[in-house]
Amino acid sequence: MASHNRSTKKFVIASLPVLLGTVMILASVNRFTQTVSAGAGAAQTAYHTSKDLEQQRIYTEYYEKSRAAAEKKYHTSNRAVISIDKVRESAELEVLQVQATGYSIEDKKDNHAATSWIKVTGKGIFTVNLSAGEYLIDQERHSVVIRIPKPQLTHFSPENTEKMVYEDGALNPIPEISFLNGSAGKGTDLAQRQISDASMDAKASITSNQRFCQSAEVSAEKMISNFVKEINKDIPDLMVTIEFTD
Amino acid sequence: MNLLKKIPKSLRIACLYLFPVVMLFPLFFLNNVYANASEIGENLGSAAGKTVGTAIGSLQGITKGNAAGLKDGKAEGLSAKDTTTDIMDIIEIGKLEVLVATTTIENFNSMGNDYAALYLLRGDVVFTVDLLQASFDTETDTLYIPQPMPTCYFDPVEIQKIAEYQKTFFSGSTEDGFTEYLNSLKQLEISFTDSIENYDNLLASAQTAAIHQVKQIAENMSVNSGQIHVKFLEHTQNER
Repeated sequence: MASHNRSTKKFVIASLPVLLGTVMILASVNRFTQTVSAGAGAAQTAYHTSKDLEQQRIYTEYYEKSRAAAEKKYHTSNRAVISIDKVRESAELEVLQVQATGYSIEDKKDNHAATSWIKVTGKGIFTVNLSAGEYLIDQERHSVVIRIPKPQLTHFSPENTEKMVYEDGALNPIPEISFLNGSAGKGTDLAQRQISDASMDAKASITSNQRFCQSAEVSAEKMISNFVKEINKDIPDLMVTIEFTD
Repeated sequence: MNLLKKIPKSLRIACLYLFPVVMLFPLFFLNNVYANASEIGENLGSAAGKTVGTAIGSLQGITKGNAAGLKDGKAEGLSAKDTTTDIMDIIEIGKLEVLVATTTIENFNSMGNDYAALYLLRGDVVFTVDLLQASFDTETDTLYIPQPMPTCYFDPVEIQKIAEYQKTFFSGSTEDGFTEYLNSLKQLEISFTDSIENYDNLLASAQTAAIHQVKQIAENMSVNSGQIHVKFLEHTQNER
């Protein structure tokens, strides 16, 4: 019995460290696996972050280089010198401002350059010439009669030009291969012609509109009457008559 | 075995117990490294999930999404939501043009080293006084008017191309030239107006003309037929 106890004790003494060691090994292996797994995850994240950053940096580098080169190649400058030819005094009264649009449509089949539609929006100003007016003052009856020419459209100014449709006229236009895309000279000629045509179209739409002319007369009558009353505001019963002459 | 028996029993037992103690070190080390494992694991899972999601999503997108998107996009595109209507303004104004300067503008236009052109433009600078802001003082017979303001008018019909240079016959493209012309005209108008607004000599002439013209018109319209004085308002709010 004593011998059995001794052998049991020996077995326990010998197997306890082995068991503990084995548990430690298994735990270490488990931790190692988990650590490798976690490390791989971190590496992957770092990989993506650095990849994205580097990708963006390289892209930006190329973009900036190309942008600078293209800006230099196409840098458009205008050096204008203004000469004042003539200065004159005027007495035109602006009475009505109207907006109008005009179009110019060109087809590549006709101009051998490009199909291009543009819209020009501008403002027209109707004026009456006060220096050509006749002023009849009746001090006794407190009456003012002004005979002036009918309002005329004297200014038209394009304010906005919109490119609506544009397609190069070359059979197979390839960007950056310029010999298939016409020339800059052809482009400036086309733009100059179209802005001119569209502006004339817009101007014609104003002059042909009878309503604008009538509105200009109404406005002229109102503006001049108000101004006459302001000048003579010490005469409350003042009668102002505006007559338009052809 | 005999060799093992030569080692004293106490040393053998000590070595045996040393084994789990030694094994504690890598375990502690791995535990420390593992401290951020959950966070790292999340990243790993996110990345893996993204990859798998991309793969599955791509497959579904190609097989089903494209067709559905095409159908909905077509309906959206044809809905004509992108519709604008502009009102063409008619505004009553009461501005007296007092001075008109006729100008010629020589513009040297260039695009890089390949294209250059010289243009001749004609423009009018019109100075106006807003009579709607005028006020008359009956005690002193003085009419107060705002300062004259310039407006520039270009007539695109009168623009002339005097000379043109192209490095080669095919320098640039038609579209480059077209776009360059539209932008140049717009910038030139802005620059022209800025220059005129800062040209003091012309402004001084406009002020003299304003006093002269307004005085003449006001005296023509005055029932009392006395002399009318014209002065500028001290604070005028001119807007064009």
